[in-house]
Amino acid sequence: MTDEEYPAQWRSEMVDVSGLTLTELADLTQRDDSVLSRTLRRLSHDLTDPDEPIAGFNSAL
Amino acid sequence: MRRHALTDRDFAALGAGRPSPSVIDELRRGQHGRNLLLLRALPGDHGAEADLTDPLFGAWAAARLRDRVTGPPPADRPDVRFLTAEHDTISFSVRLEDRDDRRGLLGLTPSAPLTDAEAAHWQECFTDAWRLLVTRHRAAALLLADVLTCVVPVESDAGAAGISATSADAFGAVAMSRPADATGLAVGLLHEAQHSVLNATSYLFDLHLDPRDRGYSPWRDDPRPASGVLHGAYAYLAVTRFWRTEAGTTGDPLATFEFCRWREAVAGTAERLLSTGRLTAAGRRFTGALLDEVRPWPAEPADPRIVHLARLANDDHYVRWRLRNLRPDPSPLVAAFHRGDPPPPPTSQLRTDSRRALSHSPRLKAIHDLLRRGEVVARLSTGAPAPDSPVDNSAELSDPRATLPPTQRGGGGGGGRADFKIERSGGDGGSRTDFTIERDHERGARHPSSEQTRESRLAAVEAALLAGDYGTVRRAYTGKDLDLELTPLIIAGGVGARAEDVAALVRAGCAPGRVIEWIVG
Repeated sequence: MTDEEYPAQWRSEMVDVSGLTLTELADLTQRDDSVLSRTLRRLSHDLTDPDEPIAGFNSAL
Repeated sequence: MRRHALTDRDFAALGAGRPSPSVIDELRRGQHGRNLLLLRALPGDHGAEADLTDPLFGAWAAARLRDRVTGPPPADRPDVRFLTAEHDTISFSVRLEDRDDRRGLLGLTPSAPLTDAEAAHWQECFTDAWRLLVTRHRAAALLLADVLTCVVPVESDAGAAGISATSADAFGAVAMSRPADATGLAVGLLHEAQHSVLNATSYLFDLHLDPRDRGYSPWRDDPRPASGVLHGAYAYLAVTRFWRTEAGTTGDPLATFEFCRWREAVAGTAERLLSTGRLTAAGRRFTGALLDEVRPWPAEPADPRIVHLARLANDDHYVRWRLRNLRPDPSPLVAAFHRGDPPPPPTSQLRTDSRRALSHSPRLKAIHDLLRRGEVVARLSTGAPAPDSPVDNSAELSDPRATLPPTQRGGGGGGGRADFKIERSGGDGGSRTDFTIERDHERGARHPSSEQTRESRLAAVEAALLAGDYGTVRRAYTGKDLDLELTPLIIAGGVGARAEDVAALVRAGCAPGRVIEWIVG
């Protein structure tokens, strides 16, 4: 599409916490909240300023 | 801790609408982690009853944290319905959620709990839809089964034959009205699964510099934020691919029409998004891959009569959207008109009072009806009117611009003439319904000053426009009392002018006939 060069890997700002239990997550945030700061900020933004549901597809002909 | 990541190859495949199972796994982990963080943020202790894999948990937890709901999540129920299907050893099962109190959190009004007969209709459509998908759209079927876990029946919308929605808080869930048939269900589920995938992608990667920039979307009548425009293109990528395969397999004119219509819309939308400079690097990569996927499709051969109708439908939507949502500044246009100069580039701004609106077009319905009845036939390959045509549009036909839809004028992707007549089904044996458009069209042209109702005259003009009979469009328009909103639409659809130019001139008092002459040169 363009001549733009892209990284070999796209790294998200979001930390993968999916393997944690709720207790482990609580421990982690008590020890060092900064590791999750971007993730929590993003989540907070989603909660305070949510997109509208994507609606309107008309599937019938 | 590990940050979520995708290789560039995987990210491009995701943008192209062909994510691998491992990519979906990564997106799902992101959503699982999001639900865990929501759970942690909730007041009270809901750890015991929380199912973080349930999309309705995400919807409920987000709503709870936004103070839109109160109390604990509902307890598990034993009477959960499922839709299940198996074909060619590939099985698929999703929850058909018609009772959970949280089902109203997906953005549409949920239907009442289904009767057994209603549930049986869903199951019948699901069975047939799965057979269709596995048989002819296997890759899409596998992706669907990987993403979708829950379907919530919702009330139908009076303005749409079928409606569906997806929430960014509920990965893998879709709200959908009663499917008309298996094909409608199949394509609707593919569409909504794309939204879920893009929602999960957008959680991990910022794609827009300002996702709230509003602009044109071919799929809605209201201005959409940039994020919504990309959502539309991504969802319709799957829809277009579906119809591409259906058209190639069955030759069905309706499938060909849908393919032709959406291939242009998706490619054009991706191009516009990329040209705005308002995407992040990840957004450019994603959207560029989307465009690369769809870019070859508009060049694929299709019946030129159907290509014509598809472009007419897209132009119709574009013009109606502009009329509805833009406010032009007429003064430079009027000044140019009185000087006899060519029109300057029009300027316009988004109206601030444009409300949310689903796409609704009577003309599109007319096209669907025509294709369904198979009554659209080529007429003017020789440039001659049909034998029983009351209309002499030879003057228009001598002008190459007049015989092509607007998107074909000005060079590029054209080819030969594509002009049509809506024909009788033969003799006197046709039903009243079969003749409706033709008779209205004839009546409007033969008796332009008779006491027709305004609606029937408008219908006659619409039919003439659909038939490519621009002579009748002009004559019916000139000096008549058609309303200003419809007038530029007709002219723009018929002769390719920009609607707001026309609207501005007409409103400023320029004689309609002179406006048309000015437009067509």
